Amino acid sequence: MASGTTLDPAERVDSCSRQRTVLLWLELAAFAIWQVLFVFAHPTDWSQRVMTLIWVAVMLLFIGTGGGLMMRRDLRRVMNDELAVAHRHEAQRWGFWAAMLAGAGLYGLDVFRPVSLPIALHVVLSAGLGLALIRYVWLETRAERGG
Amino acid sequence: MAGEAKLGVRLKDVRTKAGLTQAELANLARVSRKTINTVENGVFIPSTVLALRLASALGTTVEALFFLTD
Repeated sequence: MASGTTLDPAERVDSCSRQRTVLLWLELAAFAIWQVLFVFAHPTDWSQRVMTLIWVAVMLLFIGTGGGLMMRRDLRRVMNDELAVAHRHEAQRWGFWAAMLAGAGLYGLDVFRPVSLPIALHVVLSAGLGLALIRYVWLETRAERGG
Repeated sequence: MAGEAKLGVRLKDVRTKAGLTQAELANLARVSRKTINTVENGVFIPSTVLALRLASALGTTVEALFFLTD
């Protein structure tokens, strides 16, 4: 953001919107790291589980609201205009179906190979949040690049 | 049965004729420039409310901005 210059509302929203897209990419990277970490060390003790829950809550909050909760109300309203809300709704729809399909898949798999509850929950959460996030990142990046 | 109609968009033409940039129209319609851009490119189909706001900001009708194609 340019310092010492006055941005008009559209430029300011543009700037915030670009920052949100960068943040989405960072969140996607963090999601990938979370998956790698889970492969090597499942969260076992309480502190690890609490950290996982906080991380899931942060992702849900971002996918649910688009972030920017501390922004000025008028800017936030424009940031969360019809296009932004449509992107979030589509991402949530993808996440819902991914979670449902992952759950159904695990239900079927359990007949042949029992799956522990923590792993099943991780798979369902990861499928839902992961696909929602990927879709959200893709839609926002496409719109950022000019539709 | 009739084929599915698609939305044609004249927003860019009307906006440039009005001498407005995407950012200026975005300010008038109280949306982001990204939204104007995606509507102009036909990527995003606006709601009736947004279509009316865009038309109002440009001093024209919704029909002048959008039309159905077969």
